[in-house]
Amino acid sequence: MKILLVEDDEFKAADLGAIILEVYRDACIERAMSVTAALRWLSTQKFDVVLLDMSLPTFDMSGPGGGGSPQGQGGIEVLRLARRLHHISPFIIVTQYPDIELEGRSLRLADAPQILSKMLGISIKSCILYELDDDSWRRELRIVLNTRR
Amino acid sequence: LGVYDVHKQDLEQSQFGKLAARLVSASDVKPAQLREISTWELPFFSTETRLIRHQSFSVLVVSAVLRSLTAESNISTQQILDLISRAEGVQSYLSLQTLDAISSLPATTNSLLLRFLVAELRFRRTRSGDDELERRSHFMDLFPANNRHDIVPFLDELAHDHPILAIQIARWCTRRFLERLFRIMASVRDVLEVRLGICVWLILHDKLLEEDHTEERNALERELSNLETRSDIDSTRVHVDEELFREWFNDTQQPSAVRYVQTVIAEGSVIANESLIAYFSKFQNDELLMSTASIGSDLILVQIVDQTLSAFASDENFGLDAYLSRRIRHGTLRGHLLAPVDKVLRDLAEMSGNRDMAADDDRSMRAHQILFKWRSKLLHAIDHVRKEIIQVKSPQNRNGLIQSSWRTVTNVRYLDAVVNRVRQRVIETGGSYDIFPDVYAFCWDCLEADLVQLRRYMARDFLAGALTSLKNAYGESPSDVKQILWGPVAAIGTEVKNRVYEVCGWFIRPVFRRNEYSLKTLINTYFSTVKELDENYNFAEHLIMEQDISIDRLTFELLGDILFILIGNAAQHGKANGRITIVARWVADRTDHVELTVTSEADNQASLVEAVNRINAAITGTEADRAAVREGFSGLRKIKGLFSSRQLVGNVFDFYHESIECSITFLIRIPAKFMAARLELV
Repeated sequence: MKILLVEDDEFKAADLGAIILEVYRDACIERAMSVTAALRWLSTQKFDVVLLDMSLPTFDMSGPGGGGSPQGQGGIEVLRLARRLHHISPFIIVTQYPDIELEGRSLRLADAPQILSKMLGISIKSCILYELDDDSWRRELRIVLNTRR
Repeated sequence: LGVYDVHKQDLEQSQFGKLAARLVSASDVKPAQLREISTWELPFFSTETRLIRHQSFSVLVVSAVLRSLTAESNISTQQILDLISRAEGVQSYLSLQTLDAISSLPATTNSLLLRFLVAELRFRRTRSGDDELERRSHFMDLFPANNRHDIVPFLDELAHDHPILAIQIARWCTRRFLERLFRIMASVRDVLEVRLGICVWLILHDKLLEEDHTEERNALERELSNLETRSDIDSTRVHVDEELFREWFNDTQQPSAVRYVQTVIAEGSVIANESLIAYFSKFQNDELLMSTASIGSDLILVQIVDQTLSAFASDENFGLDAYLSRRIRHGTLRGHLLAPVDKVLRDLAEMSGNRDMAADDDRSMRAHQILFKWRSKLLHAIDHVRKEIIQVKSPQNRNGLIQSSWRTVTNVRYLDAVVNRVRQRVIETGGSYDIFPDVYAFCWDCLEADLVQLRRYMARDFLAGALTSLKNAYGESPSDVKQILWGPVAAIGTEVKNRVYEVCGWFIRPVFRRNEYSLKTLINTYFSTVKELDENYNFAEHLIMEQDISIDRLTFELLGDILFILIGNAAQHGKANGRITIVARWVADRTDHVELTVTSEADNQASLVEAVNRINAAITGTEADRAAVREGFSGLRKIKGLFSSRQLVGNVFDFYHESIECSITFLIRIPAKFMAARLELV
């Protein structure tokens, strides 16, 4: 199982990584910590699952000059490229936002997978609200990952 | 052709004109339509009639030509490139179907450059995110992956046959555009270097905007010079998208800006009888701002500034509020402050061997419960901050600390200064001065006081509340649990404090546009900043300098970081009620240095020895610590790192102590104009 984890926050990435490894012990997890890194991965490879954060820096924070402009909806940029490349990788959006903005529209997370999948012509399996004080996202992510088996 | 006849003289002078005439005559566009549109447009243009008439006519002709193209048209790639390059804004006259038709022409599909140009026109027509990615993808297709160095040579080559088009493309390659070329750019440094190369190229080729390009080149050089120092702080600092902001300004304020410049020129260099502050003090409300007719240049500028400041704070695309909403209020703030707490809670849970805290270790479980209850309070306080405090003040958000208003005593002074400065520059340049940079800098000036309030709130109200309730939770816990609770409580206290200081670092102005700064202001600012962050700060401050010293931006930023660390350390470790003395002087040597000593007192001999040992250990450490803000008040290794990475003759960073006076003094000597010194070295 080859998984791309697009997440700039170490704490959240560790949290998500633990769930992935819980569901897929042999998962090979690649990590992208910025929009640029994610776009580069998607330009060259296919994944069994892509876990995607929405708010990302343009570049890896560790690079010369830091992260560049913060992109509040950087995840959408990643999805747009996936559409352009006719990417077959399924996406799971894991965000701390209660909604997703697209072309001036605010989409509720519950509605977003269906609308985004239709609009962008790619496979978005789920949009999960990641909350530090509520573990329900863990259950939701386990279920979605398990359906990929 | 009637329209052609009118412009015959202009058009016949060029190949373009001949081609246009031939193709227009073959198209289904009726000359009368062109004439009608052309005439209709003219009243909107002011005095430069001949040029503008020619330009608008060119656009109309080119659009007609492009509409008439079919797969059978006998037109080459070069001819289409030539047409498009001569008609800026042609996309406004073309439907999306026409653009699609052009993109499928053999002349287009065979040319990577033309494919990019058509995608660019389409994006400029729709402004959609998809088309924006499309145009970038086509642009990236022009270059091999990771080869950013090819962009300037590409412009050079293009300029041979299509000089106007080359300049146009160079202007399109803004920093924001370059930043998103993911196959070519890998870091902020790449972006800055390429944009700098393009600016240098534009200075040679684009004489019309030479001054703007030169200013940008200088700013980029400064930014590249101190990239490492600023990088980790800037990535999380408050942010307004300057390029989108500029686009907004051009779209909405340009007519007023033109009117302003014309009025200033008409008024001449007469000095007003009174300053704007005195003038405004006569009015009790904003009524005068509602009047747009027959008003002087100052008030036109105030109108511009008023609307621009409002957009700066609240625009949903590029404004500060949009950034706060996307980057800070949603998740980031909560995650940042709660992450270390949750880590400690997890560790505590793991101590009992069970994440859900089974009853096998009753004391651990009760300790976990106490901390979890405190965490709920912290969460509540964080939610209050993000929902109520880090907000632009409005009727809906009355507690918001971001006022972003020029109607305060301090900000009216900034306004007065910007009004005078801009007026002077407009007069000096004979009306060619671009007012946007000054207005933009003014917006940040107005925000300065709000940022201070935010930092103060976080460091005092929020942090004090969180630590007090943590202390209470510990104090009220049963004595058998205290034993287990002590370690986690101490760890949480330290971590939360550090994280809050980090959050304070987010609320520091990121943009400095000027290149000359006052050292005295810098020192006083950092005394205030440290005082804001440390609620126990209780020191007598002494600043000794005979006259103010002018320093450049790089020196300003380096000294800013250094003072933050040294004053912070003095405040944290120095003698309570003691004094912190800073002596600054100019050293007139080959590169004109500025020399600072920062002296603080220790409580007694024992603490002096301890402090000296600690400083020695920090300074002789091997790893340069890059994150002063993250560390709170430490980071001597960072200073050492700053100095070792900037090896210039005459730089000094040292410390000494006086046993009798029980004092520690740091000595810093760096060039007053660091940038100039570095260039001289190169």
